[in-house]
Amino acid sequence: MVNIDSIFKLTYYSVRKKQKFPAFKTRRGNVLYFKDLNNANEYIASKSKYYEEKHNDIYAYTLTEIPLGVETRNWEYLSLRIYLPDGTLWGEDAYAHFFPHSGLSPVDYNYWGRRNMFHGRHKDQIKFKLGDIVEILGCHENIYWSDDEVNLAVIVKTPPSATEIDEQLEQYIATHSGFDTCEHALSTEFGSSLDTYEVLSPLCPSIDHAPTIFVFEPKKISTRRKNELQEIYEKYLAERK
Amino acid sequence: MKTIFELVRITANSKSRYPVRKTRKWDMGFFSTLAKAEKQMNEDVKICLAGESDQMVHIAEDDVLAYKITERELDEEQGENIQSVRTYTADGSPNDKCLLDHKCERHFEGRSPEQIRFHPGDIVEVIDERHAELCVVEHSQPTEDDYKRFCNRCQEKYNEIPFHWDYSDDSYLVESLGEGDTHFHPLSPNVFNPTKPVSKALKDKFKSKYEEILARYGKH
Repeated sequence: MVNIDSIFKLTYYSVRKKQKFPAFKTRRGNVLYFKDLNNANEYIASKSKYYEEKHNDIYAYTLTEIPLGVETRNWEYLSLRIYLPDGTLWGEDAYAHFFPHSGLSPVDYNYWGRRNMFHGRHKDQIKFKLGDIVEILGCHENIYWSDDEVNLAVIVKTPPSATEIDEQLEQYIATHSGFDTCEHALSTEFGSSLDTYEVLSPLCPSIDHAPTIFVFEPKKISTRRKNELQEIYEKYLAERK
Repeated sequence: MKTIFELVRITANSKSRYPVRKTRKWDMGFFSTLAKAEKQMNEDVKICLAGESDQMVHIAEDDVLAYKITERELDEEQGENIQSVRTYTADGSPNDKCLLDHKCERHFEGRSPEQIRFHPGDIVEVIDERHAELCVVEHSQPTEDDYKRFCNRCQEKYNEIPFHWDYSDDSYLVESLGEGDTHFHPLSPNVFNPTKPVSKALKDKFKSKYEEILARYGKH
């Protein structure tokens, strides 16, 4: 049994009053550190009590669990949670996104392999369907979009469910052998990189990936933008046929 | 009160030149005690000096300038969670430390002469997480005598001490190269010996800058 102490790091992202699509910058606020999840949740609840839409520019809170006593980079975490400004939990990554560095970590590679494995999303956790227009929060916890921007996009593929992942895993194990099937190697194939929506955005002409929990409902969006994104989606559908 | 220790490595591109260099910050993790953080730092010093780690692929272009261990308070909700700052040079030897918290609960009462590492006219390198800049020291940190004098003067004038000195007073007064008044106040832990040899031409520039300062204000 491996027991790793961890702390929780809370960051909030705020936006300026004037938001202009398709992309606008976010600002990283103060970083706070908490001993455990309860303390962090209490803080978020106390903060969101004063939440009024007019006077609050917070876009989202990110809460990452960070191991103590192990070499860690700033994009690595043991678990990741996102909260909306009113304090509700928007999404959770139950798996870790962590890679032991240079043999200094006290535990073995297969242990981290097991923790890094992504086992598919339940259908309640997939909040958007094909063709939906969404906002994607870019921040340094987001491994695909780390540019501190909120982008508008349209969804063309939803994250895989548990059964899909199981099928892929079976197929992978059937065609590979030896080192490729150990837990450490499996986690690089079936890790956080699979837990994404595939999206198209007006600024990026090819398919891009957005981690599931960083995808939000768009707040204010003009009909012109909506039409633009719908056109992109229809064009994509036409090309696939 | 529970605290954790955050270890950070600061590097700069080895091709970048004086006097101002852009630096890069590397998060190295969080530790429950100072000893553990220093142990991790010393492991990293060995790896970086030997140049054999996988990470060296990424920092092959970079020179390590400094390490920084920041003690942070947990469950602190105001955002002022720094309890102490310690800096180390690239070979892991201690550079300087400031054990004052950023909530200003502990007061700064001046440094003893042994704790003052640089004196007016010295060329130093001020390294933080964004820039590393060569500067000339115009004034060192306040000494214990300065603090006593400050207290006496307050007592004479107001019969009380209206405010106390805090972590931000434990700083040097330095000037960088450039026209006119370019002074700023780096915190003591951020001030280092120059990490690379300084050319004679640059030394002369700083010398004339220091003379200009003396002509402007007279000797402190």
